[in-house]
Amino acid sequence: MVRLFTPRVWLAAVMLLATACTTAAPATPPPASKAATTETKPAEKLGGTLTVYSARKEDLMKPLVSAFQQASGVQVTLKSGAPGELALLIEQEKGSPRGDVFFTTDAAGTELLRQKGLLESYASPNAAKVPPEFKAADGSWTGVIGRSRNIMFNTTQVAAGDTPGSVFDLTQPRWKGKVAMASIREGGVRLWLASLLLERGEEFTMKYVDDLKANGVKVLANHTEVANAVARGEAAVGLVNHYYYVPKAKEGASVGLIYPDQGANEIGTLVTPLTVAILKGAANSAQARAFVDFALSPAGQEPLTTQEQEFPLVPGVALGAATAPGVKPIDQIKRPQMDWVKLSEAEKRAVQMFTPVLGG
Amino acid sequence: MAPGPVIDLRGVTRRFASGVLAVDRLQLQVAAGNIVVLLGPSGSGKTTVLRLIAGFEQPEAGEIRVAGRPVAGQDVYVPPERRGVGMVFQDYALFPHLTVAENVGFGLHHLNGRDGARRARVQELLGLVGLAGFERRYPHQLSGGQQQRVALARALAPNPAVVLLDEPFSNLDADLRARVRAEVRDILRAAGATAIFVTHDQEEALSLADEVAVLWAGRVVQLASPEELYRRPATREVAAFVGDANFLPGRAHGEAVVCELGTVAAPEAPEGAVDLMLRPEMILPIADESGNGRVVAREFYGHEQMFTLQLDSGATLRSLVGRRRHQSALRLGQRVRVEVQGEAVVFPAARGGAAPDERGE
Amino acid sequence: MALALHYRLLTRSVHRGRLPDPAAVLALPMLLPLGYLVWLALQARLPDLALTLARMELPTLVLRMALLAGGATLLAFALAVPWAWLVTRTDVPGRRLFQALGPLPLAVPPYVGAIAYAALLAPTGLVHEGLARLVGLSTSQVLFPPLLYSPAGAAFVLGVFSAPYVFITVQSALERSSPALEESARSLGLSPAGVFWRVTLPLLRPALLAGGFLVFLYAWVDFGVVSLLRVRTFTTVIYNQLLAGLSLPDSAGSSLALLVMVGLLLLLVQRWGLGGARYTQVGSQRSSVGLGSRRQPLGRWKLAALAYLLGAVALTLALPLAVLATQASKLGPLVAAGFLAEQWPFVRNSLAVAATGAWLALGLALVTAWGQWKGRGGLPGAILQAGYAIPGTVLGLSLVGLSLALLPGLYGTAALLAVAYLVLFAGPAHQAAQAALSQIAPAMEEAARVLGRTPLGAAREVVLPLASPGLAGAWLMAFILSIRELAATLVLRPPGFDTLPVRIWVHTMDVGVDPRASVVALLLIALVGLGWLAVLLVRPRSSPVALG
Ligand SMILES: Nc1ncnc2c1ncn2[C@@H]1O[C@H](COP(=O)(O)OP(=O)(O)O)[C@@H](O)[C@H]1O
Ligand SMILES: [Mg+2]
Repeated sequence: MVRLFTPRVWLAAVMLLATACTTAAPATPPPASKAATTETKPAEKLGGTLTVYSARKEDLMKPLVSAFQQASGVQVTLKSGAPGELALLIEQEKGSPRGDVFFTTDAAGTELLRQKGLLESYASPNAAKVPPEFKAADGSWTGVIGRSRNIMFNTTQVAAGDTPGSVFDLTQPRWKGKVAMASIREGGVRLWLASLLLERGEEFTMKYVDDLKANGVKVLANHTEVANAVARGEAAVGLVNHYYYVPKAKEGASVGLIYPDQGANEIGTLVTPLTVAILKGAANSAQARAFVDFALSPAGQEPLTTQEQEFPLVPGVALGAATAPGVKPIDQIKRPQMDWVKLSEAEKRAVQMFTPVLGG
Repeated sequence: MAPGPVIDLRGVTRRFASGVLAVDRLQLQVAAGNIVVLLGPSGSGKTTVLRLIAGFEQPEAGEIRVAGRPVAGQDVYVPPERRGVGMVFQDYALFPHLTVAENVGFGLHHLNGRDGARRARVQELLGLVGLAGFERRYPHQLSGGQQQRVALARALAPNPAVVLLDEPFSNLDADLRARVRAEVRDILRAAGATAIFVTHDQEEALSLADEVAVLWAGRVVQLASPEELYRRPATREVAAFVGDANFLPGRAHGEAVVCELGTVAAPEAPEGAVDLMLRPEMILPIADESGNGRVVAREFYGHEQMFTLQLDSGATLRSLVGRRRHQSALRLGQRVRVEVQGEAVVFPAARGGAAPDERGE
Repeated sequence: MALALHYRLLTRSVHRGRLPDPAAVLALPMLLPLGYLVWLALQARLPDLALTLARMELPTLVLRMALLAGGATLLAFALAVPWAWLVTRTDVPGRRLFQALGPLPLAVPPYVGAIAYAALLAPTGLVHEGLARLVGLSTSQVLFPPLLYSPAGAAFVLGVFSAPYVFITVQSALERSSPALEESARSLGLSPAGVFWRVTLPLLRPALLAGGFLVFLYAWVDFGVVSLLRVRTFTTVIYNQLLAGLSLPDSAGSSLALLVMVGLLLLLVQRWGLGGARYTQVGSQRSSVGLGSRRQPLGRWKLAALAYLLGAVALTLALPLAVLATQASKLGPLVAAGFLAEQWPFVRNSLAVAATGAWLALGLALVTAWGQWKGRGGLPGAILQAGYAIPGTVLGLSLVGLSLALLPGLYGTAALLAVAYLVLFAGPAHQAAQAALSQIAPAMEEAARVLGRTPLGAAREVVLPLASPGLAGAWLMAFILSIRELAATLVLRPPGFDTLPVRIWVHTMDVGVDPRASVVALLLIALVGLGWLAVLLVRPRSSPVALG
């Protein structure tokens, strides 16, 4: 008659487990401090809390966050997400934002949020030196660090004097079958094509891509593959973002970096910013301002750029220690002036136009 | 016992959403201690009547009383758990996760906390159904007949005002059925229970019942003792459904009817064209080369035999003859003369098809 | 006394149909996110909406999705039905182990499965590299077709990792139905295969339908796998629309179109699938599964059956786990140990919200499945499917707006995640609960009622205990779906409250798969696996044979 494991007994057991777990877990994030002051000098240990919506890889954000926490005493909570998703979330949270700062890889998305009135304008004293194309005129957002679109080459296959000076050189017969690039699934490829559409128009860009294909360009799955191919000598040159070159160079591979189209009449090398912005109605606006200030200060740029990814957008701030030889600081790069919203619209057009050729 | 019927259905009507009128202005009274069988062809509404009494269906019109208390009707609805009726389901519906004892004790929740009393009652009932010692078995460890008895014990345990049984023997083998039937009836008698059985098997009905209610298209067309039902069926259809019946057209005059077989006594016949109903045992074939019929089939049952006779008019008659009679000598194809013994039941002449009889009670 | 009177009035009203069906009352709020989407879609200008839809090339998309979902369903059937049947009805060696393994692939989120299979089968994957090394060339010199990056590849991954939906429903149906039916068919001269095709399969129809429907629907609305394997479907298109800066109102329209398709699908399935038939088996016939003597001896087929099971386990578990383990091992044991220790808060978060969500989903599913079981129509249950058919990202975003408007206190708490899981997974939970209940004869409840139990008492003492293996399956399904949910969780989690799938995502963000993502994936899989084993261990034997 004694049946130990009746259905109800185990149901109850599982239920208990669930309840125990639920009560053990914090149901809400730590409450935001109401005692925020307008004092922004980090030296005086501001304290309080800050929530950062971040679309940058968490590992890359952690050094900045801990440096800021150290300096300011502000407790930072990161919520990582995809750029578009976070932008939509901010839009949904309109009026009662749960984040204070939005840090993203997508300047166009940030600019759209500004146009929708979802950002707080704040002209950080540290933003003064940031080039105007990398910040909103009203101070709603500021570029913090940047990525450039480069050509990487294998130094054993291409002599230093022989390197292509322009991306448009790559359609020449001497590069036939020697160029690698990533599929259009890579955001870097899309933005680059979009910038060509804006700078040179559809017809020209279409012909250029066709010529590249005719010249036997290898379309690989992603940028890592492209960098590998160049490092191994399977391709003489490759179209990549600059930070795919950095680890290869540090490994000691025979690779070099080219900033294409730097000539007087040339379009320049595309540089895209990662931006920081304060959300309208942010509960912790003092902490948010302190964070923006910090990110733009040398003390903040340093941890942002230690991990061989992006470079500082503040002229005069030294390149991160991990940066490999060949990477240039922002003030030495000639670059096209971009309207980020137009660029993002052109990106959609680029996807439509080039997925058939560069998909896969 | 309290006077008045234990079960009292008046004008009960149940129509399903599909439009089927399953129970139609049904009247039924069951006296305490009686075993009533609801007999009717499949689809006649028997199950629906039981479910109405139990409270699983609600009448659209009419009133139901159990032990004098209204349980369903205008603005009254007592849910099944408070009607005090017991039920034995067609497939027993024993709880497979409970032991025999737990099944039988399931309805004794008013004895919760009084384990002694509860156990005693369970023992008493298991004793009654002859399953003492099976307390710890699970239903699937019992034979069909044993499961049947557990179901009965479970239904009887809380001392219900009435026990409802829906085709309780249909899941049993034929040879087991007759035995279990007798057992169940004895158990019910021993418990002094009032019971309503449902069956479409007339033999079962006649052997079990104190009273049989014949259900036809949702109405009780006859409520009578088995003998009465057999001897004096209220309608042609009842006559045909209960036992074998031979029908012959005839013409009534006074206390007799003239038909193909001659003049037959029929005390209550109306004047004019009628149909005569003769039970097989009323028909006696006698070998006679100048007779007006012949033997076309013979089924031998040992203690009796059934002949099928064909009259020259083309009508066939079934005739049941006891062993002691001399008819055992009748051969197939032999010409016979037919004698009628006893009084015939007479119905108005059928006009065309055998639609359910509208005369009712 | 007053209480009793109230109760009496209440039951009477319910019986008379004066009170609304509780299932409908509870199910209707699940339509709120849908209503919100409709409201959003109405905000979009109609021409924009039309343009958005037109640009999606609907016919091509729908055809591709139908092939994808159909293929996944067929593969799931092919894997899971023989698997379930072999372990419940035959004497295949190691059947208890295989039985325990059956539902486990559910623990592998399909997006993780896709990552694992991509690492194995994609160009430059392990197989490609192996082949290249075999012929002594580099991967770029050896042609390798991107087989996995196709609708067929996506169907393969989805089918493999959603096979457990079919396994769970079919297995619990087999456990509930009597082998006597099959035995009698054997005695009528049918071969074992004949029995399987002509008796077992037809009996399993509701279970097959429930499980197959889940697979089909899952594949239909899947986002993770198709986006990883670059197959354009409705969900990836919607997602891209969202990320490409289209406003939520615009993509709300597309999501609704997706939903309408799912709705039609559901109607179709119910029409053509179940009809009015009831597949109830009466309680008294429920017999002794678990006794060796009732199992079909496989004879010379034993080895073939074993090989089949091993193959199925390899596809659904061993292979992907091995790949993940290979990836994870790149981290080195010391780093891995330290990293694992850091995952505890995420484990706790995941368990808490998933368990709560699963209880909510089961609770609701019970009410709706109950109503359906009592013959009150399947509408409330159908309503619940709506949540399952809304892409997670869209659902998450609409819950943000909705909760801020209705229950601002709820927004930004972990409780909202549980609510999201309720909305998302009450549908599958309903399907499973309904399959469990449909195996119980209504007479069981009626018997309890005439023996003095209120509807609630009858439920508690008879129906729920009888249905509990199936209901446990329903809970577990909701739990597993919740604990591995990513899209809505990403949007809705309070800052600082990450779950394991979120961590997997964090470690795959931007740059490809990080060994740490594999470690977290393995952790998630282990967690679900352990949960499943725990449930299995304390679970009553399928037959209530007396112990004393
Ligand atoms: N739940 C129901 N819905 C619709 N029609 C029903 C239902 N139950 C029974 N019926 C119909 O009511 C009539 C009587 O059924 P029932 O009482 O089960 O008959 P019996 O038990 O005498 O075979 C039949 O025509 C049957 O089809
Ligand atoms: Mg019936």
